[in-house]
Amino acid sequence: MDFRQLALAATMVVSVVGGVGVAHADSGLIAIITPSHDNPFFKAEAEGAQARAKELGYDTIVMVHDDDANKQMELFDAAIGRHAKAIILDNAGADATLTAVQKAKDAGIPSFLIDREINATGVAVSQIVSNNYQGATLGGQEFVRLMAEKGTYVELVGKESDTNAGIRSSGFHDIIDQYPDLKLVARQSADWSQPTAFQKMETILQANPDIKGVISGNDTMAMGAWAALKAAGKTSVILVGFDGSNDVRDSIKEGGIKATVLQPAYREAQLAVEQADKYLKTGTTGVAEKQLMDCILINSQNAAKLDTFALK
Amino acid sequence: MSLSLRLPPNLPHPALTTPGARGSPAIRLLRRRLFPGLLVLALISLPACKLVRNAPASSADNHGASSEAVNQGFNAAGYVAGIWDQQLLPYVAAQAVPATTVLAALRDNADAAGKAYGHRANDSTPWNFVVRGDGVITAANTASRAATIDVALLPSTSPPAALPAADLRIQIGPVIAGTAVRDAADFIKFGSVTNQLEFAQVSRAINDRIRDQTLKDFPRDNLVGRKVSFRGMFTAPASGTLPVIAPLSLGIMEATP
Amino acid sequence: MVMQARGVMPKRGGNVSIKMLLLNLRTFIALLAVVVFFSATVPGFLSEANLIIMSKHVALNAFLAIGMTFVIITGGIDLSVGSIVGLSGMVAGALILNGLDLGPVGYTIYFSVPEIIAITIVLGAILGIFNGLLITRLKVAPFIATLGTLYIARGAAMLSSDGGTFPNLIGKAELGNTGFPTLGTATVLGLPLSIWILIVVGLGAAYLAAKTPLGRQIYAVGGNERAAALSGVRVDRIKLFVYMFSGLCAAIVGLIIASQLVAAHPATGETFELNAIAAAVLGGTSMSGGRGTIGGTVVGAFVIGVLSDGLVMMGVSSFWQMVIKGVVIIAAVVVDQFQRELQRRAALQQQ
Repeated sequence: MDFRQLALAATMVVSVVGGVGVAHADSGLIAIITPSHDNPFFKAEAEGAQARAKELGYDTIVMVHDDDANKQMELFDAAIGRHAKAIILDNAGADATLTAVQKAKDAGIPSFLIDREINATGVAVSQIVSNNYQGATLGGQEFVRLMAEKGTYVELVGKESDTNAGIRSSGFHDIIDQYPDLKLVARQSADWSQPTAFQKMETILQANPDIKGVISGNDTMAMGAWAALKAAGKTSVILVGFDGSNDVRDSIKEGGIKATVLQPAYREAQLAVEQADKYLKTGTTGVAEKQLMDCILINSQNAAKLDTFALK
Repeated sequence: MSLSLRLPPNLPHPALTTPGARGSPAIRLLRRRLFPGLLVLALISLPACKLVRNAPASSADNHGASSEAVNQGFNAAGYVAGIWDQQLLPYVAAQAVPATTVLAALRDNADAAGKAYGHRANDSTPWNFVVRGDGVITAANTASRAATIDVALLPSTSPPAALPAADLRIQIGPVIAGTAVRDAADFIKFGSVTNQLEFAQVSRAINDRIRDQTLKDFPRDNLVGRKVSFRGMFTAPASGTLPVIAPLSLGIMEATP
Repeated sequence: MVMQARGVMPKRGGNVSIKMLLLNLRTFIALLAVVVFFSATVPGFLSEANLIIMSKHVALNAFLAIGMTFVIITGGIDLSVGSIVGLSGMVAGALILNGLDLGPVGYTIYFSVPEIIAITIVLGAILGIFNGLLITRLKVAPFIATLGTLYIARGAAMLSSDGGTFPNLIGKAELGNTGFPTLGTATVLGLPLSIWILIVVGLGAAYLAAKTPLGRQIYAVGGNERAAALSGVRVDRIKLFVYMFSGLCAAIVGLIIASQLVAAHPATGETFELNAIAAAVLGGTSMSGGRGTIGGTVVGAFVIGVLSDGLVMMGVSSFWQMVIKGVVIIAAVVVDQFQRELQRRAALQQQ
């Protein structure tokens, strides 16, 4: 084998592709790890954290784990390899995340959790948790009010393997099930996805053409369901979502979808960065590890004030 | 790395080294050596496993999937039963502020009122208040399962009239909404339970107990005009709406006039 | 194979032979290129700790890709490996946390960790055999048979916990089933256990492919199934073996992931099969069967793994990461086609 030739070729490849370098600032790097940005909610979260970190003089690296705990572990390895100063994390599972956060802690990197919590304390420095359950009860109460406490309804559930799908569903049911005149006629998972929700809604409408309401575990599914209801000419059906996305806000303003629940994602992300900054500078955040952030009901009265997961 | 230098084969049909063999030698090997070997291994390791008698069905085991929708490990009703008489009721008795004081302070400056009389876990959650008071029922909504009575406080803070305007609303169930009681009780902390689901179950169990104990004997007919005495919690209301109280004691003070 | 490859190379026309050499080593060169690129752009990329961590990440895909390589060499495909990864983790998790309930007897067996590992691996192999039986006995096309198994195994994984996670798989001393996390966290001579297992499995598979009759027969089945059958190869058994091996590799990955996370989640392993196929193809395995090497596949897995880890460390958007990965895979196949054309011409010239 001609290693001279090989070496030459390798050098050529390197000289073509190896010209770029990554600049790095002095105050350190903050790793921001969230689920995939194809959901605007997580994108807003990542952008909120990134913007605040830049303001405070940090470099940022934004990574997504696609709700795969194994990939999340790999991203933690990458963050440790890059000697990040802190990790801002919207995690991929209350139990499966524990090892990754512990690993970062052992490597001297503090983690600040947003949106979802983990089932342990003392491992992460902060857990700023979206109170999904409280939000779901808000949505449930509004749904009950809109339905006038009676009628048939359909529930669209998120991805069954996702903790929040279960939490939101039980929040809805804790309220709705106290009203015996509200009858659940179909309950289907639509995997948090707009096209899946559209298809499932169309099918459900075939079997139950006279439903009065639909309650959805998130806004993307609500948008899919709304498209199906609109196509079937059933725009009087009461539809309530969850998340507070701009799409659903616009639909509420037009009188389509009736209500949604806002999780203050942008604010949570910024708060986490602020706490990380304080922790890095003083060694303490000054607040309890677990902090519950309440959700806010969005309906026609306050929809106009909603923008990118924050009330203006 | 020595592996990686091996070149890919270039012949489409590699020669067979044992063209006439009946059956793959590897599979023969598998049959002759591996399976008996595994059997022996299994026999050797059998003492290493443990037989455990199944627990009776009633005692929920806390192994199993932590499918958060079915949280088996935590008994919220038991926890609430444990704190109800020992901690919660004494706390309410000790902490309750006259409702007239709190409502007046809220009208002046909500934030100052919260700092003076309220409770909350962190800056991003609303204030919760523990109040007591007497009042006259001005309206009752018992058609809803989330039934309420509207109450004008005594001495009335509104100008006297036949029926004064309501100052607050009290939930009389059977559906009790909100988390005011849990959030106003400082000793119930989010950090002391595993997750938001268990924290929510605590609130739900409190509300259930309000329904089953506090409101068990509360009448539901001919309420308007009667005088009530109450103690309870509420979460700071949005401006322009009545505070909605979850009662921890509620009683009719006199017969219908 | 090395000898045969050289034999085809023309002695004259040194220009062609250099081109051929570069083409033959293209995967290795690609690996070199990505490593050099990232060590120039990402601080700390070449540190020993990072190299070990990357190898650990690559190992998972490499296991699957090794199993997949054998399957593809026989002219088949195994889409079920990702789901088997998920199901294996769940089975191990369930056995550790809940044991095996004997039902009416009123007792539950708790196995020790080595037994659980053995049971899980055997289960992976059984699922592979199930694929193989569908393909050989019922004549279902491999794509469809393993697609069916993909759904069955994923559904079973979800059912095993109702979609939930089996948390905290540390076992209990009184049940004698502690020690599961060792598999994912232990290191021997500074290298994680999973890399040692990969070295053993990889060397074993490479030996099997290159030196044993079974290996030659696998190539023969993929090269020309009918010719192989006529020359006495028991084609069905060979196929059964490759799918079994693929399932077994998937079970190993499921165990390692569950052990590393100390938790088992039923969605683990989604789309892993595609990464495994990509690694095999990148390593020079031909999708039409009969051609491919374990060494090439392992290097292919390293190219993909180093590329994705490097892009992550650079902070490249995940959407761009997908685009880049796709471009690399397509480029690999294009070069592969180019090489074969060149070889064909060289062979003609020689004649």
